[in-house]
Amino acid sequence: MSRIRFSASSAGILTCAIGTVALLGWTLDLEMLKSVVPGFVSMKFNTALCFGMAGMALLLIRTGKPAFPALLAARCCAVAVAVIGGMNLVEDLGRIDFGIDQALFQDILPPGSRAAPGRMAPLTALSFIFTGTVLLLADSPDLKQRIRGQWLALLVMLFGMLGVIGYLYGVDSFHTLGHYTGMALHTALAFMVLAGGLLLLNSSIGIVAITTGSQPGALMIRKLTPMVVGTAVILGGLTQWGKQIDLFDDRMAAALLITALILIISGLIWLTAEALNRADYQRRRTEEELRDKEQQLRTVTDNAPVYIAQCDRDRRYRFVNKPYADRFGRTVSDLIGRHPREIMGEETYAQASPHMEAVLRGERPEYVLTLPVTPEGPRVVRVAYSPESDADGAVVGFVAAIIDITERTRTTESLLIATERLDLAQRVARFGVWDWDIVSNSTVWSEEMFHLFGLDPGISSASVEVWQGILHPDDRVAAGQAIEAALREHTMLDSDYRIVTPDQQVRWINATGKATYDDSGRPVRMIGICADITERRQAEEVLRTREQQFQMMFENHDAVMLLINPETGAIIDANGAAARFYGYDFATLISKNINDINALDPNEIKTVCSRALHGERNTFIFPHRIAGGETRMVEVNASPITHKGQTILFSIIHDITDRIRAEEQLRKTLAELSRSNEELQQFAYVASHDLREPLRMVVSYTELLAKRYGNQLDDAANKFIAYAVEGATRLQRLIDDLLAFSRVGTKRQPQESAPTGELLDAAVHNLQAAIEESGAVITHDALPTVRADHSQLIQLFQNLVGNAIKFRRPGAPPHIHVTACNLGQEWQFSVADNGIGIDPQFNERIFVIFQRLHAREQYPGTGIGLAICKRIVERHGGRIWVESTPGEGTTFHFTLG
Amino acid sequence: MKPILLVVDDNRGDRDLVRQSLTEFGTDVEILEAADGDVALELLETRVREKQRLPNVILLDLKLVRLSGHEVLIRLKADTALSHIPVVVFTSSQDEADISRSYQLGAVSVLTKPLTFCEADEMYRTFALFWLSSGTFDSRGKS
Repeated sequence: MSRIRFSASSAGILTCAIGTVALLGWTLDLEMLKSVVPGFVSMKFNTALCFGMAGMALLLIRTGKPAFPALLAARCCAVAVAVIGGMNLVEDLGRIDFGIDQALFQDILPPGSRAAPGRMAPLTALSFIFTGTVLLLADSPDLKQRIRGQWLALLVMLFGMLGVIGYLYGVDSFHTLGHYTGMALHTALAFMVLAGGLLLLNSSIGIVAITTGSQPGALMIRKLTPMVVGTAVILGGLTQWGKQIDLFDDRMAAALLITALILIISGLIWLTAEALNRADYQRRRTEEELRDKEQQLRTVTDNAPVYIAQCDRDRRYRFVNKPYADRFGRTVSDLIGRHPREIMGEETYAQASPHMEAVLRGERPEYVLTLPVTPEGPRVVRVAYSPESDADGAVVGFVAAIIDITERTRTTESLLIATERLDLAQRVARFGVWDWDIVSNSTVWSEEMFHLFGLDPGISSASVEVWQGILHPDDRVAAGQAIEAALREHTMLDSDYRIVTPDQQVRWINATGKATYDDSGRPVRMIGICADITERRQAEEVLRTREQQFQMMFENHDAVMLLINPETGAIIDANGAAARFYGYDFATLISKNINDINALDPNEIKTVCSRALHGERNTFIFPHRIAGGETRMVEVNASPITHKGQTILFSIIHDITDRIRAEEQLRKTLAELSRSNEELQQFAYVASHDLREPLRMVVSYTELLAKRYGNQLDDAANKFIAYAVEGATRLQRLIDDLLAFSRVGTKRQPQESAPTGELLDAAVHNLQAAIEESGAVITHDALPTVRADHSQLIQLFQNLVGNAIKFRRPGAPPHIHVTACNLGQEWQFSVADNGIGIDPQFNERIFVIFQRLHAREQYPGTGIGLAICKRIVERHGGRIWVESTPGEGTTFHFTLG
Repeated sequence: MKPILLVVDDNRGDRDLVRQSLTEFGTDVEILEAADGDVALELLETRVREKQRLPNVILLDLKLVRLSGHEVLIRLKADTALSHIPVVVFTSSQDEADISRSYQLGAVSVLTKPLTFCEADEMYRTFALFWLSSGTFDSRGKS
């Protein structure tokens, strides 16, 4: 193609050059340039101008796709050529002179010529009209117009050839019509060149198409035409020459010419046929080779694990391999000529399209694409585009190579996930992975291994020596031996050892590993993990200690303990105290059933066990038989314990036989005491009532006797009566006091808030007469409020203060001071006087009922006061005692809660 | 018309002591005596039956054989013919429960028997002045 195009362009240049040379001849008035051969017709100025413009137009149209101004210039030239040709023809035919013939230069014609000077030949004018028309039609969008143009160009070629042959054979009528100017020789030649160029403008269509291309027909035309033309012209010339020198006459010439033509043309035909046959064979072979090559290409591409597609500039498929077609569920022939958009679907095409644009710009884009529409579901593919260029470097299409990386992507992802999981597992579970190449004695540790050993992975490196250095000195030998043993026995390594981290922390490590061995059984590599088991170890230690503690608690505790199966009543376990208590040896005891020991009815025991099991009640009192046959009362504390899904009863047994007996005794004693107390109260009541009656009789009637008959009796009799009254009266007082004393015990007043200061004032008020009489001074400090029986407390103060007044020293007015001090839990009250004092030997005895230290005549009273005081204080949970210096004073102390 | 006093006491000495005391004081009073509750109730019922005058006041000891003084008091107050007679309880008991119960059952006064004669003498005279003087009685009878 390029060769032909080159020819069209060169035809344009040559034509233009011929025109330009002729113009130069006119300008310089050089006859040789105007006429070539002296005496020949000259090429007219307008003719030369037209050739220049036509050649120019041919060139402009021929240079690919003309730019607008170039195309416009070409059109203008074409029109000018046609118009000049047309005007010349009109001048010739209509004998009109437009004045264009010698517009610039004057033409001097040979003498005798009738032609108009400077005017081109009519045939030349006609040829220019055709030429202009062909140039205008050459790029017509209508192919038929272009083909018509070709016919016109062929006519121009014919006119040119007629001119040349006319000159060769001296036949003027071929180039000169009548009196008109003839066509110049070089004009005829220029027309031939120009027509060739015009024909080649559209070489692939119409009548020219048959001459171009590689078909045998085209080949034959191209080969034969020049030879036939050349042979004919030469033979014609030779014949002419023979006749002129009279070598032969006209007949002979014609016969010779015909014979020569037949021979030569036949030879040419024979040669051509042979060439055609050869070309055809060559073509067949080429075709076969091509088919082989294509088959080879198909075989290779169809079996390659890659999808290949070749597309033209419009992106339509020109080639696809079978996998590519299969991928889309199509056949190869289905795809050819189709647009990828139809095949890929809009979405995928939208992804691919920008990359296709890029490759059509000459780039080599690569990208990863997901194909949703495939028979195997979505696939991930990597696409690589390569541009395809023609000889000029223009991109005419591209090749797409597509590799399915779905599996690889999937594998890569899986590998990434697995690695991440391992990392995470190591971090979370705190285990490190180690890999020991035994042959080279080199190790690789995971990062967590370094953390485990308290090392910085950025600083420390992994090695057997580092590991040995970090081992606890006590475990160094054992850890090494464990590895040696595993390598020797071909077993799994599982060893626990301690390490000492750089910050002096002792940690427990569990190492597990497995070695691989070469053919001779020598270990070559060992891989394993190390885990920090410090916490587990510590927990185990705590557990073991606790277990031992509980074991000892159970076995060595003095409390009797049994573990009982609640279903069967079997004794599962017992401690030493139980064996001692029940009097059996351990083995005998745990072979027994609770029914053998508990004296209750077995059904009752079953019920009790069930209640204990469900936590309804866990304390029971049972009669238990011991080895000697004796029955002991025991208190059983039974709790259900669930261990490994089985519930057992844990019973702690206390022998409460003695306690029950003691309680029984106490209950009896209390009952007796209560009865005796009641009797005592009864007695006191009876005494106070029933003893008073007769006594009153004695006193009343003795007094009546003295009153009525005193004057009739002598003094002795009256004195005796007085003694009798006095004795009876005292007896009466003793009875009253005894009654009062007993009441302190019987009356139960509620304990209330008792402001002791106010209660002392009340007591002092009751003693007003005695105080006035004795001139006593009674003072007190701040006194607290306690919880006590108001009336009893008043009586207490009254008795103590009254006592102090009563036992005053003669001549010394009583001075009594009451204080209280806080002892924390209780208050201690003190009543101090300046009285006669008490001999310390009587400190205890003064609190005994009816105990007196002085004669009645000296200090009246029954001796009940302090006994009542003692009873009141003791009933309030306190104590009472006395401190005294005889002759100086006495202080009574008592405490109240 | 002499006022009538009924003394109910199982102790002969006590009954006599009342008589001695009131006689010595010169109170003009008819004294009826009963040794226990049954006798006293029968005496009163007899007098009601025979339309004799009833006592103006009854001195009632609490500690009696068979029926206790409180039981006698309950029966007296339950008998419409007798319930108007004021009953003065006199007792050697100093028990508060005895005293308060006596008031609850309708006694107009509770006297504690004193130990000595002098005290007893004084107490009975006071009693006689309040309960047995005719003026007081009349005014009470009219009311």
